[in-house]
Amino acid sequence: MAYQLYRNTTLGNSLQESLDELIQTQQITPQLALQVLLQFDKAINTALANRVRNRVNFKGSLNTYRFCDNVWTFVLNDVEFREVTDLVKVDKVKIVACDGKKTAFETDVV
Amino acid sequence: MLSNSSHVPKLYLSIIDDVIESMREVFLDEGLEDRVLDDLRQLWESKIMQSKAVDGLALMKNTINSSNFVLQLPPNYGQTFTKPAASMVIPAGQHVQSFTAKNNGGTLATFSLPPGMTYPVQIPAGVTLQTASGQLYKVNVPVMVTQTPAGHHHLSQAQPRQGVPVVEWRDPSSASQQSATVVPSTVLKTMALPKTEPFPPQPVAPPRADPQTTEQRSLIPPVQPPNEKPLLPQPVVQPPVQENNLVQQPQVPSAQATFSSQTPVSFQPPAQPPSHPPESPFDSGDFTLDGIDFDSPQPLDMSLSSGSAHMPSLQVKMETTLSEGSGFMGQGSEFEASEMVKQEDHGGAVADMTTHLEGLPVDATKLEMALLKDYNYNDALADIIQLDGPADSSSEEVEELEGGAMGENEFLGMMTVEALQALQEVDGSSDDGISSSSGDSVGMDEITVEEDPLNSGDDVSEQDIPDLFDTDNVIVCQYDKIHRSKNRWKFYLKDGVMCYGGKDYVFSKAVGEAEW
Repeated sequence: MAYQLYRNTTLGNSLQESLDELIQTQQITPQLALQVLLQFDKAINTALANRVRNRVNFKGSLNTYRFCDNVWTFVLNDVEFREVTDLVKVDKVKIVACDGKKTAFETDVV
Repeated sequence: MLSNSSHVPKLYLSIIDDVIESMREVFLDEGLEDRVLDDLRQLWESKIMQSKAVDGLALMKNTINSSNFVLQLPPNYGQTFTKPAASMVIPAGQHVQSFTAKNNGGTLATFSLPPGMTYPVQIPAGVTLQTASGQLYKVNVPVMVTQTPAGHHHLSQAQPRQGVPVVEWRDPSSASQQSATVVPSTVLKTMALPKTEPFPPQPVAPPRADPQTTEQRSLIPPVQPPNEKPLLPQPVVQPPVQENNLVQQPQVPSAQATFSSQTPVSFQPPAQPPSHPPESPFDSGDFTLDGIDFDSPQPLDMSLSSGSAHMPSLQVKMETTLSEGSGFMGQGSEFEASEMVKQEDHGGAVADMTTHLEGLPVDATKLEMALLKDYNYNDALADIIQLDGPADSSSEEVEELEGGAMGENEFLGMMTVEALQALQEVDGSSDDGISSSSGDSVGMDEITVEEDPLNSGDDVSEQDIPDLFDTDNVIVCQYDKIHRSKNRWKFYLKDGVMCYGGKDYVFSKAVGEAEW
């Protein structure tokens, strides 16, 4: 079991939409769609952990913070994202972060 | 920008590959064909492409075998064409002059994508495709050519896929029905339509070509076998309602749904519900009710003249409606003979009214007639009186009247003396907007509106919260450590996917600072 956090990304949302379309045309069952999403969770967690190797810095002002169920949610304003090569500025950004410690998640699994 | 943006498509591709491959067995176990899995993949990738969050070309590199798509045209396709439009604009900024094409026997037009182009291909409206032999096909509606693995399988589908619009190739030379299949491995989808159309086209069954010809050009899965009736009725309901000039009598599917660039998209719905159903059941009666507002005797006279001859029937009607009504829609009235109408007991009142009517002088009778008609109308419409909510604020004796009395001040109708008195009481006692309100339910609404701001004054940040968290720039990640001292926060994050400025990024580590 892996975090279902990444379902709300471009990749995850497009997968969910596609699955919904297939369900509507009754080409797959909802149960199967759920299986696909679980598989997606695993795949993306693995991919991010293993295949990505870059670092980003950011700086801004904190508008709100929230910590609930071990999930941090921040809203930042006027943020600058800096990577090695470039700089991007945004007015508002929302950060949703789950606990990154390995044990934290796995203990929840029944 | 280089490092991240080149990583992202590859990463996404690898994730997609992982997921699809690992699901392949599961799909087969479920008894599903490979086709379904490939469909899923296509859909997934096309949506990612559409979101433009990723560099699309890189994503689609390794998914196609052939770079050709073939349009199969009916043999009677005209040879004359309009002059070519400007060069086509293909996504990712590549400009291509024309697709090279092979023309086989006049029934097939094969377009091959120029090198470097991959599916799906967007073809915006107004673009003309040119075959090698010089034939031109003009695209009136933006289309997107994607690739499906199988060839003719979609021919057997009789139902249009939901939400998938169909586009027609316009034949500039004739308005005859055009249809052609796209063979073997491509599917054309329409993109969002040009602005001339208020709605994106619903799936439209392609109009019939000659029934005997089996070559049909249908641009999407709703390809219909030649003998089936088109499925136009249901999908194409909305646009024609808007486009009044195009609503026509239901017709055979001849010359249907030919998109033309000169005029707004012309849908010819074969069976349209009448766009203007009868306005009210009372219009078709023997008399016309000029709305509910009777402010002067003149409209009364007009309606009276037509209705006076029908007094007996009116009385009968009155009986039935009055007996149903639980109360009065008290209508502001300038009619002083209202005393004759008792509203407490409608059943008994009917007899009273009829006898009274007969005994009245003619003029009064006429007025009363009109009022009765009007009452009839209103009562039937408004049997339910709201006795609670904003109407509940006054004393009980006026409760029964309030619901109708309050909002209906303007309306001519029957009012008892009690009702008038009650109104006056209400006006005096409650100053918070109940009295002298205009319109039916506006009176009610004004009260609620005034009360709500009072209650919601406690809530300071009500507007902030939903808007605040609603943003497109989202980072989804995991946190290693979140640190704060005083109002300085430090974030140590990892394994994140970011989307901002409409683009996707990823990181394995992110460090940030912010002041609260």
